[in-house]
Amino acid sequence: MWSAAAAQSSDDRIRALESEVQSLKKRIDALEGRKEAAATPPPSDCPGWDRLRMSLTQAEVRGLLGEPAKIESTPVQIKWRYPCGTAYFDIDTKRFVGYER
Amino acid sequence: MAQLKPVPGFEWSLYGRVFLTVEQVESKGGTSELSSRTRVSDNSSLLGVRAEKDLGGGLKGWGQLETGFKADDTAGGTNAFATRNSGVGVQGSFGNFFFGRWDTPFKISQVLAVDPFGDLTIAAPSGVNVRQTGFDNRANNIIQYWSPVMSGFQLRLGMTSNEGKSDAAAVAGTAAGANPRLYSGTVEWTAGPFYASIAYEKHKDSIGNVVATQGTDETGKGISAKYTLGAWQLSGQYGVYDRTGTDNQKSGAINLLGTFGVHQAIVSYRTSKDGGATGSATQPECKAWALAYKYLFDRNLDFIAVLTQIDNNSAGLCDFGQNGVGAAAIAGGGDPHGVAAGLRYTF
Repeated sequence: MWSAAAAQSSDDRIRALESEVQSLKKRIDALEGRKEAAATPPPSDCPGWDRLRMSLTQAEVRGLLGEPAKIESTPVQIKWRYPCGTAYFDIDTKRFVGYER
Repeated sequence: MAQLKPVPGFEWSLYGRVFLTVEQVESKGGTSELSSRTRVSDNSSLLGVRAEKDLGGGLKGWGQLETGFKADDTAGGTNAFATRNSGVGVQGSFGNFFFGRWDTPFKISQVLAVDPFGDLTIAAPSGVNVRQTGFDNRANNIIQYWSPVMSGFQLRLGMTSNEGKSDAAAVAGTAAGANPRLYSGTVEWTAGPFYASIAYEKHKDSIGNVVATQGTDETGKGISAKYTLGAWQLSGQYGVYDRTGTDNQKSGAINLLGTFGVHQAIVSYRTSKDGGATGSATQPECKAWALAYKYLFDRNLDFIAVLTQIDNNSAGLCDFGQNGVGAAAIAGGGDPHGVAAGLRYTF
């Protein structure tokens, strides 16, 4: 049975689909280098990474980069994963030895 | 046809280390001197694979295979497979329970946690301390439990199976009738820049957890500590070791590590006293020191140069911690001396 509530629900779905199509169009424009790309938000500038120095302590790295999203370790290295990259620590001294972005 | 799908929550890593040094070593003053010679020595190069899977509810299953390999030569057929920490376990809020072949709790807290050389190179103190590597064990057939860290404290316990048991009639001092096994435990405490531990290990019917010896037991008791202040790290270890038929051996080490950007410097002093057969006219005693410089190229590569000297009395007992000159060269008071320089690549 057709009802006002069902019509309302269909309108909502159409609006959501239109919004998604617009979003996808923007992404395609950005990927193909069209002018709309400027509207795409720039990637995070990853503050703190340029201040990393060899042999910082873990507390100092945490102070610069904040809490890592994930900590992983192998028997030879410790890895702190961030959205912007990975910070590496020596397994013995626990000091910062480099990063990948 | 069914398709393979990625397994969520499964992670694995391949890791390794290649560590070689060029050395000049000699041992003078003993009954059988070792003349000066140049060596290229491997320092526990390794390759490992570790896999983990999240099982839900905070439970994780894991497995690890780690093999050592000699990057310098194949002398003595030493490139055996899976010689290092390898095992399987489950980990959760209760801690970590696993079994396989693994470093003992005593070694973890008394050697690895406080040795600035990481138990590697001729400068490693384990040839003087921990009863001349007798309590620096990676034990076969070991079952271990590591507690979670609670208020900075962590407990590690381990025991080996006794599958090396001999059913022959007991003959004291031989493998016949021996029932060799190992028990090891440690409590560690970490709070900011402080680390401290106590540890205990017992070897039943064996010497160094290696030579099955009926009627001979060994006990090791150790304490270790480490303190980091800015660029400096001070660490030390002291232990007392009892073996059936010998005087208690006492040994210790104190180390200072300085880190200045890409430069590191290490100064270390270690000593050992007694441990020879009870009633011996002369009990062994040695004093040793080591200096080292490290240059850290990046997260993968570093350069190390070390200089070390061991002074044994006439009952010579102490040797380098790794790649020692051997029992013959220290017998009668031989004094091992060496300088080494090398590269370590870690990935």
